Amino acid sequence: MEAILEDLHKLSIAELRQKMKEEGQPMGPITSTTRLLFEKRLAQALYSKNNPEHSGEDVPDSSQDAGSVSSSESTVTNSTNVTPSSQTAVSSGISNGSSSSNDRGGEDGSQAQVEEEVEGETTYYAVSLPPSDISLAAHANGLDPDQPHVYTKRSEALTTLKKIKGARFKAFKNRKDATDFSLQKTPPVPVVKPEADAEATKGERANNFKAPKVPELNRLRKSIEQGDKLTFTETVWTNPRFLISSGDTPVILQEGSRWSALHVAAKANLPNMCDLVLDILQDREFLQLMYPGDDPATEARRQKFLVDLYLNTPDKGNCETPLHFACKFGHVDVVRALVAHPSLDKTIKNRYDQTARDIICSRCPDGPDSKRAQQIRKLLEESYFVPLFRAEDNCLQPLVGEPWSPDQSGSPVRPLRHSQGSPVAVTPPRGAVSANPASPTMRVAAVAGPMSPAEAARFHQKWKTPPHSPDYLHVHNIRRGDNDRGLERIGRDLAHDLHIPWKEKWDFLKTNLDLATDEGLSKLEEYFATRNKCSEYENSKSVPKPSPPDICTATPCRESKVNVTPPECNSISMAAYYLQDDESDEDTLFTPTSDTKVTVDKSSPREIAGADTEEELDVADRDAIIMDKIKTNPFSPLLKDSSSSDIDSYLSWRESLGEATDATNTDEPDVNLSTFFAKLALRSPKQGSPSSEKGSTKIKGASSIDMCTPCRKGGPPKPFFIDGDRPTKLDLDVFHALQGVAIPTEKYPNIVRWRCVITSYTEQARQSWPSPAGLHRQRRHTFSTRSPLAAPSIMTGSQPRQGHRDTADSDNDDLKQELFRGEPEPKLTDIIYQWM
Amino acid sequence: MSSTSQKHRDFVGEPMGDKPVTALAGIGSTLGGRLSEKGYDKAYVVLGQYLLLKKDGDMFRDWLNETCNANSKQTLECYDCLAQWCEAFL
Repeated sequence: MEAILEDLHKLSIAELRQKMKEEGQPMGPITSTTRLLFEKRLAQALYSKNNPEHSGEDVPDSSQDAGSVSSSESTVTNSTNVTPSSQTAVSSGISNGSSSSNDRGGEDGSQAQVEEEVEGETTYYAVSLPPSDISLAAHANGLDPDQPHVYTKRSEALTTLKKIKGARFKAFKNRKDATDFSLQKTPPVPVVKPEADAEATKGERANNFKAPKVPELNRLRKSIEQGDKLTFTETVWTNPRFLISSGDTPVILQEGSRWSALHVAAKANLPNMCDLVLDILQDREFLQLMYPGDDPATEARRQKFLVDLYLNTPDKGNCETPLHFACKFGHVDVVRALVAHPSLDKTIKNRYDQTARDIICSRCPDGPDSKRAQQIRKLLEESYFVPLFRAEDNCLQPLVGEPWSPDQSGSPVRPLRHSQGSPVAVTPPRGAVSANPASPTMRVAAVAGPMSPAEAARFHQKWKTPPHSPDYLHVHNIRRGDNDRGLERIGRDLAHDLHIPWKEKWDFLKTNLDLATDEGLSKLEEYFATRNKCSEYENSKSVPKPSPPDICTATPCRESKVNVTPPECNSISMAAYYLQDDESDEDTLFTPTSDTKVTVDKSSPREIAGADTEEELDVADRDAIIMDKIKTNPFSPLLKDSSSSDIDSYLSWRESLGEATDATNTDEPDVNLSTFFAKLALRSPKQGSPSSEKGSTKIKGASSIDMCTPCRKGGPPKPFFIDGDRPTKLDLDVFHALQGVAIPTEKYPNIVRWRCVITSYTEQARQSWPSPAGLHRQRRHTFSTRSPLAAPSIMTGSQPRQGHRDTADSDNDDLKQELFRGEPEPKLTDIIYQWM
Repeated sequence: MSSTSQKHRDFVGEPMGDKPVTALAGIGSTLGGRLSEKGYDKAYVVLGQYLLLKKDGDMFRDWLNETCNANSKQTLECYDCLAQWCEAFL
């Protein structure tokens, strides 16, 4: 060991460094001060490498060489020892001087205690106790108020002092004065002070939380940096003062640059942490914890203040806010989390007069022109929404609203702030506001956004007046042909094409969402699951549970961030594909069997194309069912009236679809239609017989469920639809909304089943489905007489399709009901609150 | 110091943390390579040297010149940046 060390000692710095590198030792700069230590460590490593069996024995060696080191350094330490002692001498000299000057200067002697030892005199510390009731406390502490309390040590006097409130102490040169002082009762302590204390405690109801110490704060900072949510939440909830300082300001977690928790989280690219911090700050319970006696108004103000400070306080270094950090380092998700907050100020400038926007991605490797930077830029732009308004009872034409933004103050729209921090607007659509309670209320039926102003303008334009393109006719037909949800369908497609979040109202789900997202799908799946249970319970009683017509209450969709699943480029999608397949089957495999039951052996939708030959599909029967349905359908007269226009629109739609996608067989609709009509003619005499709706629906149910056996094996197959036991327009609407969405079978078995059922119908059959509102009316059999208030001729004057007159009628009933109940008009605010 | 480089601002504006030695103003990849060769791989190690020299500008610049052969502009930049950082954070 010694030898090794000596060898190392002879090496030059470069050689030593080389050697250390070879040994894989951690390397620091080798200077005169550090060299010895590095040598030692290297020597040890070399030694234990050369004789590994003695690796444990190097203790004496190390002590030995430690001795040598200390001996070599002893001179150094000696020399350094000199300076401190001399320094102390100097300092004591100084202090002596100062004390003597003090003695000379002031006679009160209070300073004399400081230099007690230096003076070499005994100083007496007399403690004077307060009179009366407080001296009782002295008794309790074992002190006799009548005895003089004189101490020679200051610490003793102080301990006594601390025991009794209101006591005083003073230092004296001689004992007598001290005793006198001690026995003399101090005048009662000024009353004002304790009162002020009491007031303070009363006002604040001081919580018992201690201000966190610096190491604790550092620990908290580390937990944030590591994204350790659990530790963070725990720490913060056990002591709210980790987030709220005594002055209701953010607690500084990084001392030098004065960073708050949000700064730290933004810097470390932890969007979830940012959300967590803001959520906790907005938690009422959290503030309750800090200030138990607060009334709600104070609390709200405090909370607002605090959140504002957290979001917008610049740091000390470059005067940058958390948003600056997130932009600078290109943390897209953090920017998104911060921007979602309405009290965020995007215009704050840093030390160099730059807003967050100016420094986007200036510190991230991608550079300021990257895709990431563009994403951030987009997020920072004011977020605009394009709403769609619809009368509650659909008796007015739906209206596409102007682009609206929560940040805009000059717009005709009055911005409001939701307590949760999401933008909410009261948007009176032009011409829709009237004082007349009989006039219908316009409600937000769908919202696209957020998007940039330019995008919003484009979106609005496109939605309102579709551009003249091959799609035009198609769009036009949807809009005119589908009065309940036509505009929504157009807007939905548009939003999906442009990758803009989309939300629309689904009354039966009681929320606003985009069905094509994961969230929407799971909601729908849940709905189907509960419905299935219900229907199993009711067990083919065919008593549909009528959902209340106006159920747009509660359960607001609170997730403001909706992930849009990118729509498939092929707009006709899987569903259309299946449809096409089915139809071709109809044409090719027309093999009627005597059996009335339809037996289809399809193991999975994917195999449909491959397993053509194995299929036995009694299409005739199925068509008969459809015809039956049309015949037995109470709406058949209506349908007949409008059937020609229906078919026309259908045709043109199919054609436009074919043109647009090149995927559908263009002559298919014709074939399909011709077979349809042929069958219609063929079957019409047969179905005149009272074959009963019951039987036919049973068969239909069997057929449709058999088709989807892969989804669910076993169990009695039952047809199920969204509303009741019959397909309605609502089914079609949802079906449209799910077009082009891939639905994994294992995740959403019920939806897939339902879709199979819907797919098994022809397009015509689907078109003939009544709107749910119509069904409700029919079931209810209420209000047989028309109210003069809701004159249908006027109300339905603008309806493009006769087939929907029924809907309007029933809606009128609803309106009437509302009128009779004398309910006040629901406020737009309330409705829009649910949207965010 | 009428105008400062972006690098200077970035260094001075925030805690040093674990920044590499090249984050220092005036220290590019060449000088950074030389410094880390000699064990000064992090900015805080250079800061340590700066503090060891008792924040003396001339001595620190001399040292930097000797250690990695930096020219006077580079040493000045590095010194400014460390001095300002210390002002803010020490």
